[in-house]
Amino acid sequence: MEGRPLQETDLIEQARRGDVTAYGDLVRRHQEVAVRTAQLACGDASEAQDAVQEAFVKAYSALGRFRPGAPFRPWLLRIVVNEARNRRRSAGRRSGLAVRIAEDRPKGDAAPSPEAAVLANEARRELLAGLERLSHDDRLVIGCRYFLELSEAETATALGVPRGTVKSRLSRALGRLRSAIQAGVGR
Amino acid sequence: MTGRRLASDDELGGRLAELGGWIEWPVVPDLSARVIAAIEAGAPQPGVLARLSGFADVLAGLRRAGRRSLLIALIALLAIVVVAAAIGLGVPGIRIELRPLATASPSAATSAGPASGSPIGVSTPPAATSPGIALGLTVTLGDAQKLAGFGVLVPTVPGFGSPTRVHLLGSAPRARVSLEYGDQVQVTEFLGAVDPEAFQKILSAGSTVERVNVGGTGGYWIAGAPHELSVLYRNADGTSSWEVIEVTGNVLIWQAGQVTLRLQTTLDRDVAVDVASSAR
Repeated sequence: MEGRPLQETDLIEQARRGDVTAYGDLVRRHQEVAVRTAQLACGDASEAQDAVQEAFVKAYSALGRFRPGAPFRPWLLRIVVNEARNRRRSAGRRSGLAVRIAEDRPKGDAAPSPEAAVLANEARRELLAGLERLSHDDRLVIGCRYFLELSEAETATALGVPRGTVKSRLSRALGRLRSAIQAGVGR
Repeated sequence: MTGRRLASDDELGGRLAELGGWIEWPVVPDLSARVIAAIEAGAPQPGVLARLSGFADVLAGLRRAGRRSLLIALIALLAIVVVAAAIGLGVPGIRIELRPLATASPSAATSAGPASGSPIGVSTPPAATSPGIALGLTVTLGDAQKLAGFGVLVPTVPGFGSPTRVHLLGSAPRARVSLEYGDQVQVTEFLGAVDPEAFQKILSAGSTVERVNVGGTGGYWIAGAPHELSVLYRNADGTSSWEVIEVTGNVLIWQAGQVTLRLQTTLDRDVAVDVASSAR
């Protein structure tokens, strides 16, 4: 009845002109990745939603500065990351990764043998434990690239660093993760 | 896996990506209503600048123009700002009305309101409309009929009389006409529709919404403590806009053809519905 859904660029343009309904559509399109990003950035699942809500409001105010045609998602995620970081800092705590591994296998995964499932699950927990031993920045860059599946360019925009920095920071983070896992195994 | 050597970044990356598929992310509720409510509650608009016909584009044009053109353009821009300020910086066609809240409400003492099934009683009604509200130009009813771009509906219930004052805000097709009847009733009309789901979602605490029948069509009776009412309007030109109204009285919203009407009043529900149903 309403015709085909509007393209994101149309929604952005309408929102820039003050159409909050169009902006509501943008919120719905990006809220999931925004909350996950905030969770990685502030290390607190409940704080993440509040941070994202605030970030969306700030992003609306900043739409006048958004460059038409630029990718919206990383631009938004940068605001989300900043908001989530601020909350983490003001809370004055050292946050963890704050994610849990699902008990059920992801959709589409074939059922492994019971033994293989146990081993794979153990390997995942080992990996997660290694991540927990990393610094917040290391976890964030790894999370953006591998958990949120952001591209290097998107990660760079979201974290507010040059693309080359993402590459080098990721490489160093993986090296430290490798060491952390091996140290954990050796215990 | 224990004791296995992690050969490379690629291998580690592969394991991390696989782990990503197993992460149990929390379910995210729809944040859009809360975000929009927060925006409407006072965050700066994006686009005070963007909406003013593309401020950046204007500036870019100004850079290219000569000094004389620059001066003319600046004057034009200033005029736009003044007009925008005068109409409250709302989305075109929809103005955010800011009204001082009264200390009492006709239904504050019975905030359960329609939920109890009884009409809202009015004993010592405060003004439903505050004096001095910028509702636009004061015009005659005839002028409003000519300039609104739609057929202005007027209550015809016996004994109700003519409006004591008529206001016209904006121009067709986004004109808004307000009819005042003393300090007890104000009827505001414009082309467009209301999204009831949206306004019910972010209705202030302490307010109630009740479906009512207004002349054979559905309407909404909103009552309760002094409240801020956010309504999503579908404009005649296909755009949508939010309006936040601080209301000290009760509100009846209904649609007649292409026109949406909003009646703010200290009258009780049944009388208000009678008045609304008589609008012709």
